[in-house]
Amino acid sequence: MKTNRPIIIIDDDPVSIFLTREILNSLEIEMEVLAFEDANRALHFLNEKGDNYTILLDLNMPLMSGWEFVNSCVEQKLSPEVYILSSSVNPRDIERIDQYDFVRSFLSKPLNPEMLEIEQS
Amino acid sequence: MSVSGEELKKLVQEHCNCFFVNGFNGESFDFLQEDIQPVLQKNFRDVCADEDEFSWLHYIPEGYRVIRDGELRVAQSLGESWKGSYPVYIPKIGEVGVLEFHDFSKVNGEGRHLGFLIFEETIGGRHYSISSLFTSLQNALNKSAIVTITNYTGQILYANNLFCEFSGYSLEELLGRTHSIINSGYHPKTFFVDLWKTILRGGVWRGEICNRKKSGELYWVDTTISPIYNGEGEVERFLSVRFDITEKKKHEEELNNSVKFNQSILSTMTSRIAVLSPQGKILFTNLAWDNFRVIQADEELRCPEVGQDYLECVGEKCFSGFLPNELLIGLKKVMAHEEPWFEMEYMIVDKGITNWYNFTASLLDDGSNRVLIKHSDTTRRKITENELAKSRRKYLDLLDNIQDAICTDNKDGVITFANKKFLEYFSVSRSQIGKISVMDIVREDYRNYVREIYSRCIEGVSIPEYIEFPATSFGEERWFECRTRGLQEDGEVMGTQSIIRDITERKKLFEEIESKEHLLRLKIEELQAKNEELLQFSYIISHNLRSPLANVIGLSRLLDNIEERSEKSRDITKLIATSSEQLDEVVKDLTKILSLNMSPELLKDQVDPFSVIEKVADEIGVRKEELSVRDERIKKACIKTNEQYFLSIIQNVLSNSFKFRSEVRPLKVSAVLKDRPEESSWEVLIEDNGIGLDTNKYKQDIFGMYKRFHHGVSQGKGLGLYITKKQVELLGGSVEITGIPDLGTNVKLTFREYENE
Repeated sequence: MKTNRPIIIIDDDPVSIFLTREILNSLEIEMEVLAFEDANRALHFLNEKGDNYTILLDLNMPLMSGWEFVNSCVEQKLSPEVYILSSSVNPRDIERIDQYDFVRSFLSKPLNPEMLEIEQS
Repeated sequence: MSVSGEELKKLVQEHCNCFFVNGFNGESFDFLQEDIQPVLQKNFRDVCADEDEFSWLHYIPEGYRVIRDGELRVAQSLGESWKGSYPVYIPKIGEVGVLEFHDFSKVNGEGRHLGFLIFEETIGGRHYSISSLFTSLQNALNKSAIVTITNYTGQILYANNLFCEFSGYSLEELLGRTHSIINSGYHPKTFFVDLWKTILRGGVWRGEICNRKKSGELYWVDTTISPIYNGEGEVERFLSVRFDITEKKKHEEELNNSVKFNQSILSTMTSRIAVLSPQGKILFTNLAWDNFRVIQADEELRCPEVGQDYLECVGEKCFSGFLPNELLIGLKKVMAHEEPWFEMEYMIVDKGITNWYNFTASLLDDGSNRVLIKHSDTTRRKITENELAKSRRKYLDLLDNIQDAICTDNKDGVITFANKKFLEYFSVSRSQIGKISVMDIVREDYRNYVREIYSRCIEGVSIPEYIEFPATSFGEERWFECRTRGLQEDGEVMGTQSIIRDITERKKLFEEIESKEHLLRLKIEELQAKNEELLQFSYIISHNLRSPLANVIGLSRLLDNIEERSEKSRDITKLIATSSEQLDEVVKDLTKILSLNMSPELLKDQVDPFSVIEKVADEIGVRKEELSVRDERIKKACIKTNEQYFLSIIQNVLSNSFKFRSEVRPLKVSAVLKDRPEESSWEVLIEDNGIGLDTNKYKQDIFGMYKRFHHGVSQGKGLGLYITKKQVELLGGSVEITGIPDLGTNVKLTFREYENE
């Protein structure tokens, strides 16, 4: 996950957000990290600030799911860099990432620093 | 004039009452007796003074003049003396006598002849009428008949125009010749000898002669030859009168031929034929009677002979029982004109063999009241008829015993035949056949449809048509299948033939099956939906289970990184992390198992097995020098399979090789790809030199769930090979594992699907 962009975590689970933040911090790279528990709010944020962000996106969320968020981005012509970060083992979810240009890969929870390193290289 | 007056006087006194002398052409009178003058109405002087114009030939009727010319010419050409006598005819007086000529040219050398007129005054009047009759007869005869006059030796002196016409010869050609000129050669010599005998005797000969024309063509004449007498009662010449009968002859011949023909037919006929007189006497029998001999109880039906009484002959046989009595009764009726015709069939048992005969008696239609009798042997026909009747009965019996209803219809759709089943099915009586049509049986709303099919068959469509229709049968509505086709006779469709089968039960069954199938389909759809629901549910459950687990794992890892903690707390944190990870693996595996069997498209991806193997090996941690790959395929065809499954299978197999590697030697994994085009299969062989799975020991359990075979080493939960086997089987393949402890493990994956390029 080689990126200069600021990072947005979208996850309805505060524990998961906490963990992700901690792992990102453990990389000891200076970066801006934002988090939203509600994907809708994240969408508003992107509309306001532009799409120059890297998003770690959970899929199973109430109100707006991860895929609904991705579809809204397409509709609103936003193309942030998206990494799916989910505990889903549904092959449909894994296959689906190919449908979107801006969805880079599928990371299975729990996130660990090695996974990020692999993505960085 | 060398004949002296005395001599002449003597001649005249002896022969006649007057005479004259003239030249060959009769042109002049040298001498005319006094007595003749009143007869000729000219005196001698007048005649002499008028000598250029006057000729005694004027007084001979024309026909005789011609004869006289002919006779003279014949005599001259032969150089013979000539003597002729001709009737003399004088206008107003009639025939007065006979003029005799004596050729004295040889005597006096001057080419003159003497004419003697025998003047018969007393019979003058009578002669007159005969002569005029003769003249008209002559005229009539010349028009209708072919006439010749010959001399005593048969030389032609005269031939009329018709003779010339028929024979094709001119008069000049004919004069002096005999009739042999027109001899056809048809008659034997004796025929003419008889003819001559008759006429020379003075008799009249009549007969039919076949002559030959100059052109060679034959013609037939009815000929009458009568002698012509001279004044002394001697036969002097012959008159032949003929009538053309060529046509008649032809007819006769044809008739003859046809009679001969008929007789030959009658004689070759095997039927015994007899013709009876109105009184019953046998007039004619043909040859067939001779060949007919039947002997029964010393009784013989012999050939009745011509002249016998046929009724008597037959009567005897009838009374003796040899022939049926009806035969005699019928025959008598015909003979009594009560019936114009009688026919009956009878049989005779001869030496144990039954023979059949047909007897007919009929009046001949020629008005003669004669009766024609005919006995024909009909045994062979009778046998054939019996055989036919037998086979017809068999055939009808067969048709009646068939489970299908069968009927035939004529062009108008009227049923002409129906078997027993048909009558039973549709409650039809035999008497209704020939009156009703199939349409009367078919339920009303189906009639137009059935009629249409029937007319199609009649139009000559040779393929049988299948019709299904409902009809009332045994008091209830039942369904029938009707197979109809056109019936042909000499290439023309004469009607139709139908085979009708009750299909009510079959139809019910079909309906039942159909409704059951429908239910089944609904059930399957329902189950599929439920399965899908369950699958999705399993993903949600696993997600819901995994989310907190992931958190626990993540949190325990965080704890691990906090330095200011005791060794024990560190160990505990590690154990929490390990347990959580194991639980996570279990959840993942269980989800995978649940999702097996539910992938609809299994063989969709084109896969390069080597790149999959190399990629997986790299991910697992197998180093490049530890792995060797070899392609041993014969046909390097493109391989199509489900990539995800194939990947998962390879992952499982290679991770086992990695996990269970030997600690005493460096790891070596080899992957070989083979194919068997004749079996449409391909194989992946993966061999390692690890600690070896003891397949002899664990034979039964290798692919079981939750089976683990290495205590110390294994960190798995015993689901790997179970999933691998399932996945291979889902791809239509099989997996074999052979392992020997401390040597290594071989895994052979065989996939059936193999697509040629």
